[in-house]
Amino acid sequence: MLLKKIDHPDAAIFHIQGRLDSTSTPELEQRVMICLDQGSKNLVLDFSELDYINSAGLRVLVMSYQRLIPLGGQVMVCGARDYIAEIFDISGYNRIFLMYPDLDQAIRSFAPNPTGQ
Amino acid sequence: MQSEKNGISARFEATFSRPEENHAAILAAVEQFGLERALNQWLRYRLGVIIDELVMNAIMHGGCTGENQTVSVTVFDRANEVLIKIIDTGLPFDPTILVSRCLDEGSQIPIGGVGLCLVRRLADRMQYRREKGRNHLVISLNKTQMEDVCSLKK
Repeated sequence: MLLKKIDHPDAAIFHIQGRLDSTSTPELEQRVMICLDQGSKNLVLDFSELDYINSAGLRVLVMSYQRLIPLGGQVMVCGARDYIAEIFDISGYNRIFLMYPDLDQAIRSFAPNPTGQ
Repeated sequence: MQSEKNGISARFEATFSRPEENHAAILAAVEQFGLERALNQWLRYRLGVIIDELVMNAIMHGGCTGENQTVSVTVFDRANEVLIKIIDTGLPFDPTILVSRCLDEGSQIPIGGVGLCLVRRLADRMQYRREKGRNHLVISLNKTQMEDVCSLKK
């Protein structure tokens, strides 16, 4: 797994490439939890280059959700390939995580409107 | 590990001890088998997740760890289905009767146990039996259905 953090003032954004499984999940969990400890209210996971996720990977998202929801934050998943998006559908997690087709749309959902409207 | 092929059907088989150390290797070998058989990405992903979650359950809940414990994985690629057989020497563990923890309408958000939910919902058929101190699981994936899904998504 290749994990890249993208700087943003309103969210912890991670681009994940490769596999998110029992071996690689601890690294993501550690990096996400550091961001949440530092006060990030939104978590965005860019899955556009994710090849694989199992229940261990989903667990990190649920843990983050349980921390962020009481603070008014959100967990967002963007760019997931069809066969990976299916995992969110069948597990029911598409109902609690916000799913976006790409990173731009995820960022636009919480970024202030530049026109102020 | 071995593979047998004859035209439209093929078989992959591997038995390994120390499942906790060899888990990733077996998944890589199954993925390679899927690629060689030109299984579509949906089917390869389902195959990988099912084997991953069930082997992980045998390790975590069945105590199937160490030199004296083994897990055998056999995958049959047939014309209309992919059949998975998993045999492990761990404690009795029947995933067909355990309570599944999917996030259904009105249910609490589960933080663990989601693996079983995924397996049950990804598999078309699942059978369990305990025989001679081993857990035997047979899981079927319908290839025709997957080919339909794949072509609809294109």
